[in-house]
Amino acid sequence: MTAPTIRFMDDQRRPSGKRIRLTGERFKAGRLPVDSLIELERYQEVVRKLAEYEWRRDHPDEQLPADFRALVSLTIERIDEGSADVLLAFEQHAVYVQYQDEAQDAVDATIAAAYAGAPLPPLPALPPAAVAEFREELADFGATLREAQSIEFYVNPDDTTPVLITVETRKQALTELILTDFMIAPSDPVGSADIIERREESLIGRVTAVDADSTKYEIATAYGKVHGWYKENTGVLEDLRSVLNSAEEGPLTRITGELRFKNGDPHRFWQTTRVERVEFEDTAWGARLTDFAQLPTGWAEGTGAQISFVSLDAAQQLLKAVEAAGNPLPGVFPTAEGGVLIEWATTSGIHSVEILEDGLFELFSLQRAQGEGVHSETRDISEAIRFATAARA
Amino acid sequence: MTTVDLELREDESLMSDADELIYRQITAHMMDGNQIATTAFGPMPADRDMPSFSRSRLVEPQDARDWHTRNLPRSPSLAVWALAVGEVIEAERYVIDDSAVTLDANSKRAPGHCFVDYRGLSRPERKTLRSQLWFRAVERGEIPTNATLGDGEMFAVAPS
Repeated sequence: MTAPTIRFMDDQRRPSGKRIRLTGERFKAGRLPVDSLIELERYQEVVRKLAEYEWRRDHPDEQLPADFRALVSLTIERIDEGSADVLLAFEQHAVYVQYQDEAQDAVDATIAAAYAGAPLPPLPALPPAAVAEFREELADFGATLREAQSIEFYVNPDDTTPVLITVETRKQALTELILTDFMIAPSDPVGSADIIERREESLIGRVTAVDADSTKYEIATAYGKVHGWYKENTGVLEDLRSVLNSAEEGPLTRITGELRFKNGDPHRFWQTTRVERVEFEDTAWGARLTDFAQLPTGWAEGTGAQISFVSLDAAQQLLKAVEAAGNPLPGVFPTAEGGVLIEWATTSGIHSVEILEDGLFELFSLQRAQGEGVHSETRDISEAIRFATAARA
Repeated sequence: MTTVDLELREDESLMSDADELIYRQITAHMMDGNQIATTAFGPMPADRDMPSFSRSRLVEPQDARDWHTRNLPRSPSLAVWALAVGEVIEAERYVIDDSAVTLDANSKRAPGHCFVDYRGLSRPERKTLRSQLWFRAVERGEIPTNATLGDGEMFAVAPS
């Protein structure tokens, strides 16, 4: 007989929604036993607790708002008739939703790792002493299950294979979650110190979802889908809307803000400061400038600033003019300071326009027979274009 | 050019054999097709005006390339180009061998490490110097080496 199911779904508005599904005789015919609510409460509690730590980390000198716990809470949205399908959602109060989402991701990742026998993800929001306590609380998830009952835990809504929590699988997970040797201090996996990092950074991709209610969006990048918030800067909403489309058809867009990295990969924009459409000509140099726009911080042997939009835009204007004049196309290079170097170099001489990150043009030429090069600076792009085109015409 | 103020730290030495080659590793962002940027022969910000080269008396070009690629895997070396010490001196600068300088416990340095000294130069002077070095390196041409083999590879795989 197929076991009746109760299915719990996370808020479907979240781009990375999640399902939890309970199976077993006791959930038959749409019944939701009271003791199964404890499982939901446990899940809610660990998410809430982690969200509190996240909030405190961002507000070290402030008291937790009185409404924090009330607003970071689960609700059962729906129990579908006949199948005991329960729709479960975190309330989406914009004021704390980013902490809630961060915490939920960390809880989900810990559950998934524990049941896969994989190293548990680090919990950088928690002080080291609280990590073991948090994991032990998470170990209680599924404690009400009996034989022939299970919780199917969907970390992502599109997962076809959920994390299966049963009496048997919990045994393995408990060994992962509960520190059995109290002589060993709780610790994160090797290398965890650099797992989470925040810095001002830009990412290139296509905006595929915008949720104005929770001030969130999603951008499809070369690293996968990255979510972001713009709560601190709602002025970018119109910019986000203007570039919103599918991953196949949307315009290439560069988003800049405080980006969190997890395991070295971009994870979330904690804050968003700029949304810029990336539009370069369909030429070899246009493709090159597009590549430059995607360089991450540290691209030059561990250093190297991201290439500024000001310099990319100026480079495009200059290269278009050079091409239109029928001049030989130069070499185009990113500079570690965040600018663009446009350079004609032959064995008889060097001629270059270096565009600094703030848009200043450095004009330079040196004939090989000369000892010294001729150098000047300008902020006038017309002058830079004249220099670039005249010298090689 | 400015007056040369030679600064040697402990265990550093001035390279004086004008014929000795010093190898420079060329990475992807220094190239546009077949053209090499003049910046390839100048310092990055992290170099603190002391761009790295390797002494030909102390290391083979292939070994220098392999060391770079294995230790800086995000910026693998795609080619090796070279200058002669005398060419740097003709450009009114000098090359300093710092391969014997004691390293911090967490630091690493390429075998046979040396650097062209850009310290104290203005931006125009740097551009002049790196351009003059570019002329010499391009005139000499690429130093033949092979792509660095990965662990367990018997032959190099062309990058896709």
